[in-house]
Parts: sequence; C-alpha cells; structure tokens
Amino acid sequence: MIYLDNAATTKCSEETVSIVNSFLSTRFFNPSAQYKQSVLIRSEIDNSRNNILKSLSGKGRIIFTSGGTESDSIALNNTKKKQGSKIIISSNEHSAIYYSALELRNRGFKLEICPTDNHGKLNLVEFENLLDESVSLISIMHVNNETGAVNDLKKIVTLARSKAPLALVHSDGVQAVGKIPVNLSDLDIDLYSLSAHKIGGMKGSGALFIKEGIEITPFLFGGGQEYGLRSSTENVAGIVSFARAIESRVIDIKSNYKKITSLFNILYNYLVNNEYFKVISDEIFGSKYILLFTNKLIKGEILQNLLESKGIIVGTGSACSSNNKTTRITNALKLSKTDSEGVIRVSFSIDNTENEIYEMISALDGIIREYKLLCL
Amino acid sequence: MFVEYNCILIREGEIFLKGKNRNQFEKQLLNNIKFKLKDHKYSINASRNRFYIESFDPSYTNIILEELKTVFGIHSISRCIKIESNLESIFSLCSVIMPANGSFRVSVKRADKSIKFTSVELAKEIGGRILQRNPNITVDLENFEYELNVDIRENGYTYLYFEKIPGGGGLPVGVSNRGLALLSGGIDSPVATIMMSKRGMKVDAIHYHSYPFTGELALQKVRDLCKVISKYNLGIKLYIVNFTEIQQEIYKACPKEFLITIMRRFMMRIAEKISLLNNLSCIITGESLGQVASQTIEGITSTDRVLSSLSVLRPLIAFDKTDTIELANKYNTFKLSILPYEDCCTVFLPENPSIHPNIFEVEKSELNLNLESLMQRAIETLVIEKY
Repeated sequence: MIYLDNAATTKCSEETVSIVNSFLSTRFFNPSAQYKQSVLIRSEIDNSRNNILKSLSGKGRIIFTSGGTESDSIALNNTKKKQGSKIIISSNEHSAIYYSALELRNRGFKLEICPTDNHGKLNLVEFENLLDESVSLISIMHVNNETGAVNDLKKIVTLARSKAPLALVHSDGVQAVGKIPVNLSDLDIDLYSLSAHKIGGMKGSGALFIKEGIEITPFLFGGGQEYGLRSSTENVAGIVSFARAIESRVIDIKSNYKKITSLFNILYNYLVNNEYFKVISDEIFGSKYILLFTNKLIKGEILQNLLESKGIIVGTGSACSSNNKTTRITNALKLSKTDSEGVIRVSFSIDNTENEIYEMISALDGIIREYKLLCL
Repeated sequence: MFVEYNCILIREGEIFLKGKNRNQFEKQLLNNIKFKLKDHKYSINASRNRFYIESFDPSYTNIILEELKTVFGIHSISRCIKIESNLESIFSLCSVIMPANGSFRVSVKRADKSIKFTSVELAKEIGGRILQRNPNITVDLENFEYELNVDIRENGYTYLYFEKIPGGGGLPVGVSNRGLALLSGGIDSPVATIMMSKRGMKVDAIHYHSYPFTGELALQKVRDLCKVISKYNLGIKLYIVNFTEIQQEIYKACPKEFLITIMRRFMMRIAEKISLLNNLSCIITGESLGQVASQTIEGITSTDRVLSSLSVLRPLIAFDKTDTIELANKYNTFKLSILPYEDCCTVFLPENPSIHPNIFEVEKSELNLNLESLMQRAIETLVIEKY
C-alpha cells in the first residue's frame, strides 16, 4: 500500500510505538501518586512540556489535550471575550474552528469570516479591513489542511496588535508543527494548537500553547492537572511520545522538508504537464507536505476509489469530517463546479519514497488512459 | 402502593380477516414474536386474536415493547396489569393506578359472563371508586386524558391497561412467500423492501456495485441499511454483484441514451436468475412513476420485457417523494440513504438519458453485447452476506 493521505493522519513512528509501549506496560503509574515511580513519570510529563516549548521557542504554558479539535475549541470557547464582541476566522478554517465559531455566533458574538485567495491563503487586505477595537479573538490557521497554503502569521499578529489591540490571536498549527519552522516567540502568537498524529505521534494526543499572561478559564474540574485548567489523569504515553515526535521532527526539519519538496515536485511536474489536471496548491509559497489538485475527467471520489483499488490511498479533502463541508471549502477556494468535483488531496510524510510517487503517477496515467478509452 | 405491569397484550392485525389460513398466519406471527424476543426470558400464550406475554423481567418492559413495534402482523400492544377476576380487588386496584389529577373514563369489557354486573354497571362502580380516592380527578367521557380499560376475560383473569401502542400493522413476515429487492442504497429501495415485508413477504436483497469505481463506503452504506431492514424483515440475505464490466461494455457498445435502460435490463435479468436459483418468487424495486428518466412507463416496460417468469412488484409506483421520505424516516432508513457516496447508477451517468426508450431500438442495440457471458461473469462475482 502506498499511503498518501498524511494530512488526515500518519502512521506512528517506531519511536512513538516504543515509547507508548513502555508507558502502557512497565511505566503505567499515575503521575499524581506519591511513590517514586509516579514522581519519575510526573517529571517525564514536565520534561515533555518544556521540550515542546523549547522546540517551538515558546514562552508560556503548554497544556496537553486530546488533540487539535479540543485545542481549537479551548482557544475559542475558554478565552475571555467581551459579550457581543467581534471574532474573526478565515473562510477555510478546519471544522473544529468553523463550528466553534458558529456556536459563538449563536451565543451573541459577531462573527466575521475573512476570505482567502484561490490557494487558500488569507486575504490580508480584507483581513486588515475587519480589524478594529471591538475584535476580541482572531483564529487563522497556520498551514491550511486542504491546500497547504501557509499564512503569514507574523504579519497577521502585527496587524492585529496595531488595529485590534484587545484581540487574542490564535492559530491552528496542526499542519505546521514539525513540518515547517515554527517560532512561537517570534510570531508573538497568543494561542497555538498542536496535534501528535500528523507527525508520527498517536491519535488522542494534542496540546495548546498559551502565551505568558494569557488567561484560560478552567473547563474540566477534578484533580487539578494541566494547571488546574483541564483535570484528568494524563495520557502519559501520548504526551511523552508527542513531545519526542516534535523534538525529532524539529531537529530534522530542513532535511525532511528537502525530501518532501522533491516528492512534491515530482508529482507537481507531472500534473502541470498533463492537460487533464490542474493544481490548486501554491507551488511556491505553500507547504510542500500537501498537494491539492483537480481533474476534469473523473469525480474525485471515483478517482480516489480507482487509486485505492491499485493500492494507493489519497484523500478527497479533509478526512476529519463528512462531505457536507466540501461546499464550504470549495466555495472558499472559489472552485468551479467541475473543478470542485474532481478534487484530490495528496499529502506526504517522511516515510514516502520517490518510487511511490512514480507509482502513483503511473497509476494516474493508467486510469486516465482507461477512462478516456471508455468515455471519450 | 407500587403496581408493576406484569403482562404485555398483543393484538393481531389483519390476520383475523383470514379464513382457512388463519392458523398458519397466527403460527407465523407467534414464531416471529419469538424470534424477536429470543434474548429475553418470558412466557407467551395465545387466545382469541391476542397474545399475552408474561413472566418477563419488568426492567426490560420498554425494550420488549420496542422490539414488538417492529413486528408486522401486530395491530397494537398494551402494557397491562393482570389480576384474578375478583371484583373487590379490581375496584381497589383501579383506584390505585389512576393518576391523581386530570380527566378520565373507564371502559369495561366483560367476556366472563359469570360476573353478575353488566359492563356499564361495572364502569360506573369503578369510576365511583376512583373519584372517592382521588378527589382532584374528573370524569370526562369525551375529552379524557386517561382511558382505563378493564378487560375481564373468560379465563378468570382481568387485564387493566391505559394505552394502546400501534404495532407494525400488515401481515407476519413469512406468510406471503419470498422476494428479491433491488437495493441501491438510495431513499426508495429500502422503503419498498420494508413495505413488502409489511405485507408478509420475506425479502432478500441484491446490490450491484461498480468496484473499483465505487468504494467501500458505498457498500458499507448498503450493509448498514440491511441491518435496519433486517429488524422488520427478521433478518435479510444480501446478494452483492459486481456490475462494472457490464457497465463498461454497455458504455462501449451501445448508444449513451440507452445506457440506463440497458443497465436496468441487466439488473433485472441477473435478479431473476438469482431469484430462481434461490426459490424467490418476485422482484421488488423502489421505482416511482416519472421520478427519474428511467422510471417512465416506457422505461419500466422495457426493463420488464427481459423477465421470463417472475413479476416485478413496485410498491412505491404511485408515491410522491415526500410520502416515501416520510416512511423512510418512520423506518429509520432515511439518514443512511442520504449519505452522499457514488453508487453504480451515478458512476456512468449519461448526460441525456432517453426518457421514452423505444423497445425495439433498445433491443437492437443490445445485439452488440454478449448477454449470456456478461451475465455469467457478473454472477461469478456474487458474494452473499446475512444480516
């Protein structure tokens, strides 16, 4: 099987499996207990927290969560905001942000949805026009999960600070961390969501970075874990393996990106030289981990099925949610009806090889050839 | 005083209209009820168009009621309190179980003629006792909130109950032979299937898929629909046939406007073949006249022409879509049916299908195909699953 849907989830790295195994079997102790084994585990969690902060140059707190969706939801729901104030998100945010924002609108907040360009990158001019003193929260994703578009977070934060001084700025960094350089201090971002399973960690493990001085209201009550904000016995195996995944991905970020770029380029060059395909991702400024394209011959779902029958797994869009969101994202990207029907998302991981991409290309060639024979 | 329902009364549906076959119908209904309640401990007795379920664990009462609601052949169900027909105990129990507020009436049926009072006299006496005990409740024979039914049977027992819960209606599954439903996964075919179950037919289903053009999700959707249908049909056998080669060959060799008609003719031929091999007596489809291009009278006629011995039943032929959707909601198939996956009918959809296919032209264009070998190869892909 050739797996090219790594923006949906990745296979756990061997290191993750070994860490998880150790914390599930021999080092299973409750980190809140008094005995030596527990105290050692408590310090593993603290180290994990510090290592993530160090890897991402963050000054503040990391709270561990069940994943990106929970982190996004905390950022939107558990931050202090003036009743009726303005909230800004972008038009192709992940469903975790989009539906949390709709819920806030139902509760009386004013929601502004800022458009993006055809690659899925925030339109900064429109964004700037939306900023004023009534904005209490801004949430703009770092790397778009559909197209790989990279938003200029630093510019976004700078604009926000000058024109919307009361606003907190959050970013969903799930497709960014461990893949492109992230320096939280340099970005000066207030809140930032992370997820483990997009970079070889395990599902059910994520985190929210909270900058120094930013307040979050507690939302799970009990034993007082995670600074008293989110009580619950810690997912130790998930936490320790997550921190380690970030650490190792950040160390190798440049060499990994070089490898991914070559995979991207092989497929990109094939697609742009084939009359039936059109690339939607931004090949220059986007993250090379994601390549969104469309074709005019075959519906995306059918092309995905045909590739699957040849042992190649790709996505047709965000796998986190069912089809009803397709229109929202395709509208945001201003795709024509035909273009939106033929969309395929290929997302790479460091486990993929060039040969796999060549196999994918030859599979696409074969499918197109057969389809043309049949239907044209 | 806490009084517990200790009996469930089941009233038969249309069975009582049946003449000589009646025993067979009742036996089938009894078997179907037993099949539904196979995970429960209880006893069941039959008497005069009714079944009485007793000795069950009262904490499972609601679960048993839910199971019974999906059994066809049942007119209605009531939770009862069963006591010996001793007048004093009937009077006092009636006044205890009546709610303290609101309006009520009492309806008495006295099959046991050894009781000296008439039904009306008994109802008056019971009403009086209730009013005595509950001064805040009033009698209202027309606009009552509670109707207390007192059913004094010949067997020496009396059954007290308030509500009549509608059953599935129709006839017990199994009394009307067996059929094969074409199940696409859309809104109509699951409803058509369940409607035939309701008329007592034990239905099997056949699904055509277009792997590798269609995916696992589309097939899983049909499996999930079968699990829902199986509640009404008391299990269901699903025949899965790969239809891709047939579709591709039609696409290559026949005019595009006849694609759907010829496709449906193949579906019918294969369905008939599988039916005959499995002792199934008819084919069922969810077609509704004029709903889509292939469901015109010409389209239907040209698909029926390929059948040599079986009839096609189309229970939805005169239904509006909204009526079908209402039933799909009632039978819990709607939410599954609207999942938006590509299926064999959407993969090779021509832009302009013929609305009034001419049968001679259709048959002429089929001459380009090797019907027998295509069908044979499709049937070789058959996979059977049971739900």
